[in-house]
Amino acid sequence: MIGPLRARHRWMTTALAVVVPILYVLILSSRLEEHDEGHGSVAPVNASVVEGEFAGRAWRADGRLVFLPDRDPSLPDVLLYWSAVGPVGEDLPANAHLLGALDGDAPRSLAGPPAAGGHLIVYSLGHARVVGTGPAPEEAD
Amino acid sequence: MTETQAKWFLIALGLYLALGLLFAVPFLLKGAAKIDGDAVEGSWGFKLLILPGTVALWPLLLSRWLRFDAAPVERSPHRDAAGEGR
Amino acid sequence: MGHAYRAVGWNRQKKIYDRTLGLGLIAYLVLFVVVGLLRWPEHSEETLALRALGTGALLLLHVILSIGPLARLDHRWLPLLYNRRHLGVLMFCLALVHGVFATVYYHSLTDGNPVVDPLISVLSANQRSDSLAHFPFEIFGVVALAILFLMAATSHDFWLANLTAPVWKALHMLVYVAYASVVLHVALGTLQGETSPVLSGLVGVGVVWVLGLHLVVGWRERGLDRPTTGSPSAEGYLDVAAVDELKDGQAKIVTLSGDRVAVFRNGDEVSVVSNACQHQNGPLGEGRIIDGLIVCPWHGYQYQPRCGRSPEPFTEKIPTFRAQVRAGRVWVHPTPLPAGTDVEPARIGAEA
Repeated sequence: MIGPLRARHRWMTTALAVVVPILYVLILSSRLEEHDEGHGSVAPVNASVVEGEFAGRAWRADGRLVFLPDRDPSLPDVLLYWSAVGPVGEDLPANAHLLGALDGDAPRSLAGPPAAGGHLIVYSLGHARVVGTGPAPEEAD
Repeated sequence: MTETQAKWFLIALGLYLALGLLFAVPFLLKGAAKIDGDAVEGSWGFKLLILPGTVALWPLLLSRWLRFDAAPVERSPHRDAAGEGR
Repeated sequence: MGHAYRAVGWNRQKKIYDRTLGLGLIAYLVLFVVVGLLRWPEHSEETLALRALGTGALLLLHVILSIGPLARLDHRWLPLLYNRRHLGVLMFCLALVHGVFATVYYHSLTDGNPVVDPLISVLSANQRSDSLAHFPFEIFGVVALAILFLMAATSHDFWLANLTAPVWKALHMLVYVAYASVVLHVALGTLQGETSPVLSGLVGVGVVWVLGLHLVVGWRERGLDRPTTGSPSAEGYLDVAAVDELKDGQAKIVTLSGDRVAVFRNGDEVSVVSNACQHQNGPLGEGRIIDGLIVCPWHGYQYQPRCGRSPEPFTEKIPTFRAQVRAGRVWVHPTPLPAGTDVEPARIGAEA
């Protein structure tokens, strides 16, 4: 390498050696906090009820959507969708919006739905069918 | 990114890459040999391997081709101090 | 260069290298999925394949990023450096399949446009960017993949020659940005759900290893970049070394005119050239003189010591420097001469 690039290489790796570990630790520690909160939390009384094989309760908190599964039915690859219309049998409706992946019976905090109203749909990718459905919760006042 | 932003981003990217693909055809057949003597007898495997880079960096190659540049000489502190590239 | 480009310059060594690599990789992917199916029956085959590809790429990236600094610490690692680009392209292919597969698997369930809709979904599925742990992890995967694509796409020697080595190197230095993006992609993605400390610990060890290695080597080398000082002779030459310091066929590296210079001893002759090989800016001064030619330790490019030109039919040339031997010391004029300028070597023992 030529001198100027060697110097750039040196400050680049030095900067990353400081920034990356800090971000990594911050991200993981905020994850732990969130899980602690989730385990201790109880669904509020106005939470939406999602029914089906993968049942649970969902509510809005701070712009996000919290999903608390009732139990873990051990379904493969469970995703949570929002849709303006409800599911058709076991299929996802067109234009269903992916909110995120669910993880066993652990509570998950996911991105909020893109619009008011609509439905929450729990979908198992592994089985390729809808395994739970319920109304989308409204933002609390 | 919102859905609208994502859509426009993808349209712009798709357009850029489509133009790159159009450019790649004449460039690999003729242009590469014009700007780099070693590419004159370059194999088809070679042309295939530089295709993705050509699609991605086509504006750079196009400007070199238009100026009929030979392969450029690198810039370094020593070459600059020796008065090269001036 | 000076010969027609081919797709891949395979030779026996590179074939062994690539075969070992390919077989090792297939074994890893198969083993990951088989063990995964037994250990985590709740995951589908698709998820396991996705993770096998992702972890495979991540592991390879760690190996690739370790080769450079390890080869600086110990020359026995140099054979791995010789074919590092094949590792890089393979790693990109793994990451690409991982990215495409994840996009199709997780984002293509809606029945609109089968190509555009999943991509829009990847970029916009997670719109929360005001919270650390909820920052969209997809975008970091996309950024890393884009950088790795640019690197893989420009890995052929055609690009080295046409972008020039310093520009090519600067582009490929983005690999550190890609690495940081990958770490964030993993921390914000998989590690949010997989809370086992073993996994986050392994990634953490990888981060400390890769960045620590670069830090140690980078700062250790800083001494070599200090410019040579001392009072110049009447003609402006600087004292750079004692003759006894120079081993036959090898070089001492010093810094003059803002960059490293290789002071080579070839029998009783001393020739001085700029340290950067024109091919990939490899460190010529860490190579040797074999059959009268300086050989770059990275990819074996050759230069004549007195004029800095590659032997015919090759056309590479590097700047040269004037040297004198006086009273057992080697003196070098710090002003480089244009690449390929022939310089009469200084002779040891012939001094006045």
